[in-house]
Amino acid sequence: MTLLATTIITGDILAKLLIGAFAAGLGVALAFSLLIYCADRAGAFRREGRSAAAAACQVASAMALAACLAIVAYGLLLIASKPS
Amino acid sequence: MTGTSTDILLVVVVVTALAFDFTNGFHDTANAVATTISTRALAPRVAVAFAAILNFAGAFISLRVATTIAKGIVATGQITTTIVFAGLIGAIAWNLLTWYRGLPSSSSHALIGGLIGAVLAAHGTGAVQGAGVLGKVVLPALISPTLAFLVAWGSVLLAYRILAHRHPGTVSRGFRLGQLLSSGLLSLSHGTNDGQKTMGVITLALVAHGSISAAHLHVPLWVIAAAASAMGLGTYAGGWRIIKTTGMRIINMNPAQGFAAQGSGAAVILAVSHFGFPISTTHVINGGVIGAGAAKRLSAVRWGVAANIVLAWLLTLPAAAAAGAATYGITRVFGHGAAGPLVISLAGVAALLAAGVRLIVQRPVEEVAR
Repeated sequence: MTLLATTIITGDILAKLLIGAFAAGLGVALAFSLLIYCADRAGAFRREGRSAAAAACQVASAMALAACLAIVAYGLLLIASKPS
Repeated sequence: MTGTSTDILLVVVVVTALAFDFTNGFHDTANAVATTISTRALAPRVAVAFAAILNFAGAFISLRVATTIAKGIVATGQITTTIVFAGLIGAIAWNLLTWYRGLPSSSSHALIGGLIGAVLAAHGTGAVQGAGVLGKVVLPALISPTLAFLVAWGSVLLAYRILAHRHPGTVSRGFRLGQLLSSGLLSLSHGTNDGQKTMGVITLALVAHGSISAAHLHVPLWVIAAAASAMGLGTYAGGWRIIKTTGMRIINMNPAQGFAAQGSGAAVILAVSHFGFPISTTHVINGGVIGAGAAKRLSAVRWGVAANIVLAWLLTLPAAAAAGAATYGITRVFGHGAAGPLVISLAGVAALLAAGVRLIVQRPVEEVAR
């Protein structure tokens, strides 16, 4: 049984699978959390009248948004090019 | 078989395949919308309409239809139209039973189980490839929900850590918006995956009938449109009982958990599919929901509900196989022609009408929205 299983999913593929899934999943969570964090901080800084800090946070949140959209675009690409 | 008999058999198989596609749609609606509805990112009807449109569109995106059903799992050379019919009936029966019990189980595994049962009944154990079942069904079924559990668990911890001192209203609004993206990705992915199964079944039936040449295999446009429509309509009908289980009964979900479950689910599905392993969206999403709940605290998960779901997963293959084998056995009572499948189809339709199939479409919308 074990022999059969190892011939189907090798340790190498399993490792790649784990890394890929964790990188993508945690990457999405990280990018989106940073987007919310930076957007919220930008609002707080604006209310305090600290426009430079607010602008910096807005830039950071735009970068996080770009990262999220890039991940979604990559996901769409994978969906469209799914093997038969 | 006479020409008329094969024509009738073709029509019966095509209609049954579309019926399976419909049950597949409403059974799996929960995967894309349960967390979205649960966290009130979208109203229930809007959420299922959104998922239905993207499922419909997804069926058109990738047309690399599997030319053989259950390839590598059963000896495909021995699959006849009657076996495909029996397998579909087995899968539909299991989908309806699990829907009625509100249990999210895999429609793909139900179809594979149904086909395995019908093949076993027709040709014996020699026609089933054990290594294929292990590699394409059992191992992915073990790996994918575990992976989704771990990724969702990590994602929730990460989100909580980063957003610990932020305004809860802003955080919730942000994650609700994010859920629209993750829900959309899941729906599209589901449409491309599961729409193809039905297209494959119908195309095979057309080849067996002689309507399409095996040498110039292509999927007719009407097959694509019919499969996409059945999937979209099924999704729009909404499997509300399963939506309730996935979205509300496993954990009391907040937007961060909903986003983590869906986002990590989408990530795992795309990563695993990228390596060529067939996986069940249902297993991944429910694994993600349990992981997102456990990240808050272990007692946040209703483990009794989770155990029932896992039990349904374990039973899917053998139960659908038993139903597929029984269906095949009954068709043989009526001989080799279309009479058996026709009688079973009519009996099935009558049974569904008697059971009040309208429940699928209507009633629990208000229950979920409440």
